[in-house]
Amino acid sequence: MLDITDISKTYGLGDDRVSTIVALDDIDLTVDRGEFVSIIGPTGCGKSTLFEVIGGLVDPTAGEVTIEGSPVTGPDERIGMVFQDHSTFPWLSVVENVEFGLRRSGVEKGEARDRAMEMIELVGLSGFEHADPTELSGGMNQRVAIARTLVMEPDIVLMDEPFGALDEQTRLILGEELLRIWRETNATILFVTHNINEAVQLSDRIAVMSARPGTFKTIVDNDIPRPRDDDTMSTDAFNDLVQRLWTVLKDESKKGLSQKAQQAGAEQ
Amino acid sequence: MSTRSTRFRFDGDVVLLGRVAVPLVVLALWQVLAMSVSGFALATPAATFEALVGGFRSGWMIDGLQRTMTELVVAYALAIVVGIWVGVVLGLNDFWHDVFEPIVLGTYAIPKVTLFPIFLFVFQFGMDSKIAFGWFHGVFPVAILTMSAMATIEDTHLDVARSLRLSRWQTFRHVVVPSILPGLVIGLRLGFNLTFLGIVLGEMFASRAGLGYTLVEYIAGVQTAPMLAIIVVLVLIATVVNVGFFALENHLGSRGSDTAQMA
Amino acid sequence: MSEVDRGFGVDLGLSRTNKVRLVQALVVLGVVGFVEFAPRLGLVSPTTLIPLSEMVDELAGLLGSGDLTPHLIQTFVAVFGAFALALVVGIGAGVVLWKVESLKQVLDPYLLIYYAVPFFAFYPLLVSLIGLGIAPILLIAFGFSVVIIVTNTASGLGEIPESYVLAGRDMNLSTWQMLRHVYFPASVPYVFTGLKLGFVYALIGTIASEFILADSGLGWLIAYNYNNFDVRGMYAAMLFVVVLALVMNGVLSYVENRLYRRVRT
Ligand SMILES: Nc1ncnc2c1ncn2[C@@H]1O[C@H](COP(=O)(O)OP(=O)(O)OP(=O)(O)O)[C@@H](O)[C@H]1O
Ligand SMILES: [Mg+2]
Repeated sequence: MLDITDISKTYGLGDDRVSTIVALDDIDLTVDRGEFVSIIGPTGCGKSTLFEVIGGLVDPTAGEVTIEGSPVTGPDERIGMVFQDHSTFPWLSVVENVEFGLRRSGVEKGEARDRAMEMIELVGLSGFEHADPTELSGGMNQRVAIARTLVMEPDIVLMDEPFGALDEQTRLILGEELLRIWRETNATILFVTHNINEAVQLSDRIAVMSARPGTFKTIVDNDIPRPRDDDTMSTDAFNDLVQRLWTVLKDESKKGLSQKAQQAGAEQ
Repeated sequence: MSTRSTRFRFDGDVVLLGRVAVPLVVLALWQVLAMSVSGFALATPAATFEALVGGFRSGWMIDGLQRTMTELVVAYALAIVVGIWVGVVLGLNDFWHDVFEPIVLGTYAIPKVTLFPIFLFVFQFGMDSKIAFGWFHGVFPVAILTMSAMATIEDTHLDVARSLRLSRWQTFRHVVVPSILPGLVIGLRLGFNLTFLGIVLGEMFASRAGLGYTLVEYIAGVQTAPMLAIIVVLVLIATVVNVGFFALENHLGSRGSDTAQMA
Repeated sequence: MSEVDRGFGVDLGLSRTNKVRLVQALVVLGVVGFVEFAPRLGLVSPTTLIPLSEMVDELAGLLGSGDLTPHLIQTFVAVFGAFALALVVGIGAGVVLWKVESLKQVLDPYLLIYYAVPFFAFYPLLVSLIGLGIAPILLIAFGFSVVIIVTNTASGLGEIPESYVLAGRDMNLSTWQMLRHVYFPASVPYVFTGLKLGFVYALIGTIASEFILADSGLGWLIAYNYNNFDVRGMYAAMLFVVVLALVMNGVLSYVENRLYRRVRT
């Protein structure tokens, strides 16, 4: 249902605009309805850029994104986005955050509140409806952000390292919760991460990106049966897949790191 | 916390007590000073209070207040509107922000009173010149603090707004305004204080009405009781407004320390 | 996500930083150009504004003839005397407020409304206490200047990150070393913001007092020339005050940078 065709993105660089950075180079991907696809890649390879292009926040330099054949030309109601961190509004309570998008798109107050309450229950935040985000942990804030996106009932949910700022335990628990929510809502999810375990735990398919300029090195099917619980993670199948992905990713990560060091040096 | 251990600390009660004590101490010093110099130079608190009541009874205080408050309200409203507008526009555009930030901050280095005669040239002797002068004092802190508050808006919040397809106005109303509110309130308070200063100074220099004008009349006539009565009224106005803003800042969690930056 | 900000349309092949500087220079030139050419081109009446070059001319004449000297002395003594006093007292009181937390808490709300007091009104009192002349003006300017220095010093010291202090403790620095190597350098930017504003406030206090109360000084001269329709003389004196303010601001910035760099390296 989601078709990403020949996407490239070039950025002009800050102070002297002569030089450019090729963030994405010829990306192709097709995602089916109800699928859970992860994109992993080294730091700075263009994962967030791809996420923003698919979400219509940034125009690609070349290529096209279509949903069921109709192109995405800007922020699109068929797409919901969950950002890495600091995305909940601290001046609103949990329920006000969740109903924010509904209210702005004209859903009337009572209905928005009802739908927000349902969604809060789905993400496991019952009892915290009227808490302030600042009182909640990072993990709970991400639940709020996920609820705020899901309540809009998008066809496709994009998540850019939604658990990136969380500790390992919270990350595992939220991963399991996300799988449950995914089943209950039949959502289509595109999930950006740099954590291999997380990608294997969650997805049907995993796309591995190269260091900049970002392209897909390989796209791997993940046949490990669901439901995947704690035991699954200690099976050979799980570890083999993690190992396979790591072999591909290792060289790219080294490249990514040295690029980052160069870029930091150039900015000095 | 360990840095605190080197300092003296008392209970909140003591602080409250101290705060109440300050005006009493000022009053006592005032009384002592008034008794030790001639009544000419400094009226006693009691005489001042009498003049204050007399001022309201006979009406000169009310007339002056009306005039000064009218100028203040108009000048302050204009300072708010223009200051926020400029601050938001400059805050939204990185390039113009970088261009104008040092220039706007640089205007703080210029003693604005010096330029008052120019306002008289342009606006003549009436209310307009005081309003323009008060506005000129107040608009800068409002603009500057709005501008720097704009820089604290989280990019992610704007991305969320875009991905939820908010209109420009919705983004302004529901994301920009709540984000900048804590900083904005500080700007509004500083803007008020400077507008007030500008109005009173303007009235003192060149006016035929208003509390500042009356004040200068009494200074020239060395009538210290009504003179001090006016000062008391001015200080009370400033106190009420500042206490209100203070409460609002606490409520919004504005960083109190920013306030010292520009008084 | 915004892409690279391209500033405005024309592309001169400049880097962004240089472009910002260029536009800043253009803005300043525009203001200066307006003052110079608006009266020449008849956009504003020459009885309202005179060209900048004529202000400079007039000022040079006044300075050369010595007519300005007594006013200069009067204003300089008041401004710099008030500022020096405010600097010493202000930083001292700021340190005390920072050390004695409860005192700071007691005084905080009063310091906030301090500038609502029209100090000029105390002139008669000051005259009766210390007599006529520069002293009462100097004291008014001091009163105007000192509190901004106090509050900035106190909050500058108060804002120092806990981690710096802990790191200093960890290295077993003495109180003096802590002051010299931790508190002082970390609070320099705040303190200097206070000092810069403090100088402007001393200048404002002096000029405003002279407007209303004095019979000499630059503020008096501006008011006198205004009242006597001597537009040239008025603008010359104004120009002098503005230049003085900008020069002092520059000097304080320079000292700040020197100090900041020295203590940092
Ligand atoms: N607005 C922009 N202007 C210029 N360059 C940009 C911009 N956004 C991203 N880039 C550059 O594009 C490259 C890809 O960035 P992106 O944020 O997409 O990487 P990422 O894979 O999400 O990295 P990370 O894992 O660190 O989040 C980086 O080199 C980055 O510096
Ligand atoms: Mg990223």
